[in-house]
Amino acid sequence: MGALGLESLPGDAMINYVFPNNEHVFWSVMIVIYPYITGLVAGAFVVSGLSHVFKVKEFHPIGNFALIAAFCFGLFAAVPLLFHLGQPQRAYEIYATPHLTSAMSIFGYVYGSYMVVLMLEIWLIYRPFFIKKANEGAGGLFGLICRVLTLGIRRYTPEAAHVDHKFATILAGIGIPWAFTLHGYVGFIFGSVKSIAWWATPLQPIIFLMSAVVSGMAMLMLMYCFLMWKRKQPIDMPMMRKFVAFLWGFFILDFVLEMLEIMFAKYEHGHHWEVVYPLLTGPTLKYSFIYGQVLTLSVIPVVLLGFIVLKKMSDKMTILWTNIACFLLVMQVLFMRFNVVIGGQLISKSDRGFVSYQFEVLGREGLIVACGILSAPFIVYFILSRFIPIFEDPAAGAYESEPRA
Amino acid sequence: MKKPSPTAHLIRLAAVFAVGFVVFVTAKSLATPATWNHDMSNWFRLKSLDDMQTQVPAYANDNKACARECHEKIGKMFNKSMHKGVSCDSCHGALGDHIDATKVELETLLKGKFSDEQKTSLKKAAAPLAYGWPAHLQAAHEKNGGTVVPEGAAVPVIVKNPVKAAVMWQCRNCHLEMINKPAAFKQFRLDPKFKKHNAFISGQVEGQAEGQEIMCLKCHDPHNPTP
Amino acid sequence: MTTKLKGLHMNKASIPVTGENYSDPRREFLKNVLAGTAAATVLMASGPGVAATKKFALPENIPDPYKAKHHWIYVININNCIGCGNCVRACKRENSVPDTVFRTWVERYLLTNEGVYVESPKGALEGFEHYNEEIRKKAIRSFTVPKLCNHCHQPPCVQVCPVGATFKAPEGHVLVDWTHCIGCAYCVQACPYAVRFINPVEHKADKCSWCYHRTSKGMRPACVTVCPNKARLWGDMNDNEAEVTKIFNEGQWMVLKPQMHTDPSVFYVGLPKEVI
Repeated sequence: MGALGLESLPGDAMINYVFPNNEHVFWSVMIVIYPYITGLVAGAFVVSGLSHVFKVKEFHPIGNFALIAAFCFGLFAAVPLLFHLGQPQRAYEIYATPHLTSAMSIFGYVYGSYMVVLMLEIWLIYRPFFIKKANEGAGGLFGLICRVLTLGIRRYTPEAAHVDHKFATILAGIGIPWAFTLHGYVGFIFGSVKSIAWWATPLQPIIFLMSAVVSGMAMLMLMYCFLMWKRKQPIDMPMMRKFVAFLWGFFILDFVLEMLEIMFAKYEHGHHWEVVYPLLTGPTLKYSFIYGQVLTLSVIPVVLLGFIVLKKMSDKMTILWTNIACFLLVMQVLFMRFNVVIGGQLISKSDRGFVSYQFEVLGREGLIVACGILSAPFIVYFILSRFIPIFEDPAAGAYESEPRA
Repeated sequence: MKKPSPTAHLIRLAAVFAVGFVVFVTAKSLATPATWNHDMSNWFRLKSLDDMQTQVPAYANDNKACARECHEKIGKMFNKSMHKGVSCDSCHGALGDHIDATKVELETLLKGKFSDEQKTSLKKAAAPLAYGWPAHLQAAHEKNGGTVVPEGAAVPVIVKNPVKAAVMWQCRNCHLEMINKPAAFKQFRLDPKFKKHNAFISGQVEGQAEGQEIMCLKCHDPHNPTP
Repeated sequence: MTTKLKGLHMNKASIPVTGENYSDPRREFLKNVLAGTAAATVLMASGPGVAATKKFALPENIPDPYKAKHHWIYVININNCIGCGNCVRACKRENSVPDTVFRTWVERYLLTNEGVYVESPKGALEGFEHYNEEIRKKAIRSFTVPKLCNHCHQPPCVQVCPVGATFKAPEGHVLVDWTHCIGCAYCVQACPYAVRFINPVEHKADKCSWCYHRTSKGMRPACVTVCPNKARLWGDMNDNEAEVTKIFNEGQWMVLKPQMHTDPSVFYVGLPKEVI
């Protein structure tokens, strides 16, 4: 048994040798939750896209909910990065001097324009609601925001509704590939780094994307069930059954791709496997990857979801197992981000040793800050839901609404 | 109120976007540094090359800077000795530390041209300590009030003179026989013929009272090491 | 009438009597073969030749007065390194490098039948001590290897910098602009040699700069200046008399991690195969 409890070290090493500058893990918890949050955005947007663009009618009741959730997650996508940067006050440089040879340089523009697309779509759908509230003379900050967002147009006509609907559909159509770019480029950031064997694979963008869709969908379902329970409203079962079928399909793709990467590395038994195998069987990833991400959080949900889809079961059982499966998946994607981001950095570039990772609890990039950032979207959603209709039609009563004299 | 046209709101939206676009483009050009090289394969701020040159060098470029004006005799001797390839700085510490770095002109570091004023102030300045000391020696020197216990010595050998202790460490650091050093390099190993070198390595000084100087300096002047 | 084409025998009917329109198939064939060979040779020579020139090409299209006057390279001779650590100490002082991070360091290797023992205690800041008896007994060979930024011609760190804070300067240095770096650490991840780090005091990316503040004024980097045994060499590849140019042209050098195709500017003489 060599150092760190590893059976053998790569490169014929007799002692765990890590390059002097490799001992510190530079991308830690903030860079784990950043792709996690953009993944939630992409996943939620896919559900809304399935409803608005692909006309999956079972998803119509949750189309707006998905959009608002995507927006809430999207508001906080950049926050982990600001906590991570050594010079966050210079973050604007990504807009001023983006170096286009770097995948990371497009973040500023892709994220900014994606949020614009998302906000535009929400505005188009909620415009009748803002008009109605402005005409009713809603007060305070909320009233002011509604009046501003009407852009001075205080009547909602069927012709305008038709134009809006068309435009919103086009935006949703643009939004899907844009959401994919917003998250897929993260996979490219990792996959194109040739010096880190656990990251470097062309499959990385697709793996990240598939797991993003899975996490977004699963999180959306958990939120939906919680909200319906709180509001004491019945769960839309046809929607849930269709949802689980899609989720299962996406997760099969995701799981297969993740396993494929490892299978190729093992089969080729080249340099990658030399350093990846000790990593995966080492003291950190043996638990977080093999026991955690794969056996508990992947194998169980993929079987469970198949069970739910293929076997006839009562509504109550469907709801129960769906929530369990969604919770496991939400954790699976979080574990996957951790295993990829931090796992990759545990391999020293000396190719003769591994670094051990210590969680930081306090501090700028610590667990407490991470929990705060992860809870923020839900808090914003809670606040928003107090003001705007999410499961109800925003256009209800808008046609009749007239501006007060 | 007459009905607004079906696209009126979109036209207003377009106007908002136009204003936003102008604001953004203005802010972007203000935020881009003035000397930016707009070539994606050489994407950087040109003036940074000038800015980086303002860092003041600490080490001399070669021994001429030390030897020429202030240490001529030693310099001449050194230049003929076996150690002529060794830089003064590597044992005595950066030249810039010896003379106040902020007052040193670059010419001095490059060519050893001191002004009369600098020569006067240098004569008054403290003797250079060997900044080439490793950290543990520096710390021990400060903690023990000037006595040093060299690491690795079989028997602790107390040396009263910290400068000489540091120098001795440096003799040892380069010349102590070690398996990783090239065979062609002059190293001293345990060899019954060289009792004096044995003592140096083991720390045991035959016929020497405690507190006396370590052997290498008795026979070897670092500036002309051939005994 | 025809005769079978056999060796030098030709179809007599096809041989014209006069010099006009003379086309000897043999001659044509040989001409074509020669032309083809010549073309292939030119291509083979110029291809890699062009590639070789391109490989070590410096950044072009840099405006005056920043245009390159030199093409700097760095040579490390493993056969001369004694592991004294002068270079590490000098670099720390010259560039105010904080503890726990290194712009340059020295590794010590011990080869045995059972494997390779590699270490770099504090980056060799205080040199090296003896190996313990147990390890020394197994030794077949031991040597020290200085490491520093390779100032690659295809630097992955420059490629991934999102804001253009790190760049390949006209004379070969790969540098970091501290007024522009946002400290994202992408360059640190991308470097295959682990020579980059985030400066714990400045919170910006940092690495060996080949002492740009010295070399831009005709001085040598601090590590080269203090090396007592000519293990570290510095020079201008444009200067045919420079020691480094002669060593480079002899061709008995290796670079670190050649499979990464980063085209380093640091050339190792006497590099053992165990060094990664």
